[in-house]
Amino acid sequence: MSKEPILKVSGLTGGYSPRKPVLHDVTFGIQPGEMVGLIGLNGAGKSTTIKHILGLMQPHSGDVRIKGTSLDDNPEVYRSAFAYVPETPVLFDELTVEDHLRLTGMAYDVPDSAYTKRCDDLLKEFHMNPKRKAFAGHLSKGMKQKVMLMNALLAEPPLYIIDEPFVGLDPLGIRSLLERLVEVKRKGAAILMSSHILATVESYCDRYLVLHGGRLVASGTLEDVRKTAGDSASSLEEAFYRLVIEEGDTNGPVA
Amino acid sequence: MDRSLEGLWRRRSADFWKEASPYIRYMLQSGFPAFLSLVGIAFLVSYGSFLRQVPEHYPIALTGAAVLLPFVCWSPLRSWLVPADTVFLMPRESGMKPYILRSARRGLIVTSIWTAVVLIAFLPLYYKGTVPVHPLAAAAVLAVLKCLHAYAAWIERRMTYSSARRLYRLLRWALTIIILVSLFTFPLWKTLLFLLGAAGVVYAALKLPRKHRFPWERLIIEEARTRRGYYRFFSMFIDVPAAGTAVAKRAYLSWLPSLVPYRRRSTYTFLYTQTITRTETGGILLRLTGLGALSSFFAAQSGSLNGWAAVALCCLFTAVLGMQLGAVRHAHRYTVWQHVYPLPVATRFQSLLRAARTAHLICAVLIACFTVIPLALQSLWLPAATAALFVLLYAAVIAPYRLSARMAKENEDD
Repeated sequence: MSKEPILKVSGLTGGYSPRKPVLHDVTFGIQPGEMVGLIGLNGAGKSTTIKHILGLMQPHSGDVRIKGTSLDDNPEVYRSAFAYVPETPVLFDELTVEDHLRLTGMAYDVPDSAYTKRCDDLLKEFHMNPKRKAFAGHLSKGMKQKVMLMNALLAEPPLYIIDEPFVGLDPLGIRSLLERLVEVKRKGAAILMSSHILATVESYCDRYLVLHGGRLVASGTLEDVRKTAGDSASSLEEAFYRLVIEEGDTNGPVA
Repeated sequence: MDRSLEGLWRRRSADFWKEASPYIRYMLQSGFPAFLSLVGIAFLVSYGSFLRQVPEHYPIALTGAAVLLPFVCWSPLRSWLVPADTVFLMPRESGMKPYILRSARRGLIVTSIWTAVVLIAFLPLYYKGTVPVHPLAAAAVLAVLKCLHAYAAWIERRMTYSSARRLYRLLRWALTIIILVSLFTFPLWKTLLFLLGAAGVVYAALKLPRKHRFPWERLIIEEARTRRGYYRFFSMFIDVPAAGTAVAKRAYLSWLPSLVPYRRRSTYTFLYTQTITRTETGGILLRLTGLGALSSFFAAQSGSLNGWAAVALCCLFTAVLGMQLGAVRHAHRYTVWQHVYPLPVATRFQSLLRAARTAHLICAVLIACFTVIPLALQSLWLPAATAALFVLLYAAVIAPYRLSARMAKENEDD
């Protein structure tokens, strides 16, 4: 029997202008302990989907619920149920790495005792101990991304929304992240991860959402995506290629 | 289209002032010039009163050297360079000399005018002393010093390591204070001899450190900092485009954010305490507090206008502190995290107000201490009580109320 999904997106149509929606009737759910890969070409609507889930954009129609609650029902409960890692690191210039972790710990009400341990573990795992007192502005792009990931992992929410996590990360960072994601998944967290690194997505995700031109053109397990692509023996990359190239226009329609 | 680099300089300069002109208009309409006039009048009254009763052994030469020092050493360079220039302008590096010379000329002219103004203001005090050098000769020495500083500052900008840059700047400032004290104390030939020796030593020393041929990164950082300074100033009067902020560690203030308790409702208080202590706001508050405390103290000590000159200065600096802290409302105004963190939006406003009020109270009370205590020691009770009451009322009630009203209005506009 299927469990109650942590994230439920139903009939989501949305975008920047009501006359020109970017997303068209997108529906999917993510169960606890599941990692779902959100894949699509540039401009397919991945970031727009994420912005609607975060509540940064309002749907033209449809509904987004996290743990059964919508943003309008209870913003605090809704927001405390997820952590977000943006595609481009968004850090406060005047805060150090440690300060960012403290800020997240305070915002997500992480108990003081747990905060210290989680903070030390994350700094060690992501090899950021030498940089714990460094200002955000003095970090490399990859290190900034690590800080974003560490902040999300520190909160230990039921849902992780991660946009392009591998951009700028060094091989050690990628390994630390993937190990951590597997661990939080095992503990029952749900993960929605958008990425262009299809080989990694295929290896680590349980299900896939293929967005093209703002529509969900395929979803489900690798088997399901292969079936929709009409090639039962292909890799995720080959199936994806078939799904998005068919229409001739690689970006697909947006309206 | 003028494709020469000098033409590019002119276009960029014109573009900046065109972009800034609406903000300058707002600033002029805001009553700020009237406020500045008031500060000027308060200064002139205090200075005039001080000149009438200069103590016998007052260190005139040291005072002149201290007030002239920053203006003589100050060697800004508006290069108008932006990060994209490392891609598009760098290939033309060999032709950058006329471009940067134009910047240097402009900087030298502007700062020389300021130095002349300060020298003229100093002259009445100078004439209270022995006058070892004719003012025109002093002006000529200052002009030579300005040129030497402009050259040395350019070489420092070219230095590869910032530690070397800082060391040389310190050396430049240290030698200059000696030259200035000497200028207002000894016969001219002695000063000139020392100046010649010091210039020779610095010139030889400047050859030592490793240097870039053209300091692209340094100039881009400085230009961004200058722009931020302008926009920060304009932000006191009107909304301006966000332009990042320079950050300083200020380890001596690190105890302040650590006072914020680790709990959910203090999240934004922690953030804004760090913002106030570590960004340019913190630096400005520190400088204003120092300047305010010193000028109020001297005015109070001299008992100018029966202590009311000190009260006026104390109140003025308290008001300027409020204006500076008002600009903090722009920090993190559009950050994505306020929509992501599981915290009510109102928490950010309340925390910002709390942090700004606390900072204002700390700085203003410090200034008030340097005003009220010397006044009380002279039994000038009414001015002392007025200064104390105004500072508390303004920093704890009026400024937070005004800040809250402005934020509410801007929130509606958003």
